[in-house]
Amino acid sequence: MSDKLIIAVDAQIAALVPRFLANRAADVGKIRDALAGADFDSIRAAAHRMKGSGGGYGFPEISRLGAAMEEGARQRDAAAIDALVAGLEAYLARIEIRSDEAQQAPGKD
Amino acid sequence: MRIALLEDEQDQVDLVCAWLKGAGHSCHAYMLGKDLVREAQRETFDLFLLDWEVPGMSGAEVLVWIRANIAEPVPVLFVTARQREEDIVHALSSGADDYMVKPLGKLELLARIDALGRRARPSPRADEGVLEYGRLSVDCRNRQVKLDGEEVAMTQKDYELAVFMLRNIGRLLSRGYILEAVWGQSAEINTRTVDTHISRIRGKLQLTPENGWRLSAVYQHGYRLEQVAAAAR
Repeated sequence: MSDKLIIAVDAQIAALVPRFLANRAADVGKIRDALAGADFDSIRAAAHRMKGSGGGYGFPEISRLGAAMEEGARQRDAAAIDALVAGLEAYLARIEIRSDEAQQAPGKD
Repeated sequence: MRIALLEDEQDQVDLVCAWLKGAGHSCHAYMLGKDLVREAQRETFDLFLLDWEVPGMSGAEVLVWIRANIAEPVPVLFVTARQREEDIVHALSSGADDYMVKPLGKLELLARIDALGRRARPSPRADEGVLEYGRLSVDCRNRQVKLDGEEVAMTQKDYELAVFMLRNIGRLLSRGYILEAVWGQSAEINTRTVDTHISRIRGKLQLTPENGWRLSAVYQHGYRLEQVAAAAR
């Protein structure tokens, strides 16, 4: 896909962002595993972490997905969580990082 | 400021500490409430930044411990993903000074920390002239300390330590806190250096009870400078 999403991250934390994104990519697999085992507590915990940290790193979409996933875990709504985790995976695949003081490229997502 | 952070998410610790260090603060992170409490018994912090949901002893329980066990009113800023009104009221009524909901914004967090710091401990103005402490006076512009009007010969570090202690009269300060404040966060020296310099300024500035001062060592913690009634001569 060519619809890359250019995200400008604060230069002060630019070095931390790759690990943050790698951890979220790992969350995709963990959440799917937890979903297969109907382990909604683990999903809720991972989603809660995402919700709390995404925006601070410059990824409000990750916080939004985390909040929706946390609610899905509370409702034990496997279909909703499945769709949200697919959304997270697709979002992560589109991200391209640019170290900058700006927050996010205008007109994107 | 020297800030203690309670946060169990490594990504969040990295982020907040980077922001704090970038703003000139030092960040001491603890992932467990009991670890923060243990350190707070022997260390000095200017502000606590507490996450609510951590394993074991929660941020709310740490807050209660801080208010019950730390004599001085150190500001506490609660940081959590909880945003229900009753949670906010609970944190504030338990002794928190402010509350922020995650995800955090860097500028807002730093502004709130600065505001809490200003309220707790107004910072000295750069244009301050001479500060008077009884027989002692500090000439900030010329970086001189005088005792009964006579300049006291001091090294740069002795001067900075003396001024730091005089600005924190009555406060129990850990050696680590003094070291960071006077020598800097990256100083590769040990806390014995603090003991040496404390002893030196005690002698040079005559910080003894007969002169109206007590600069005492507090076992396993640090030092406290107090003004006491001068003994009759």
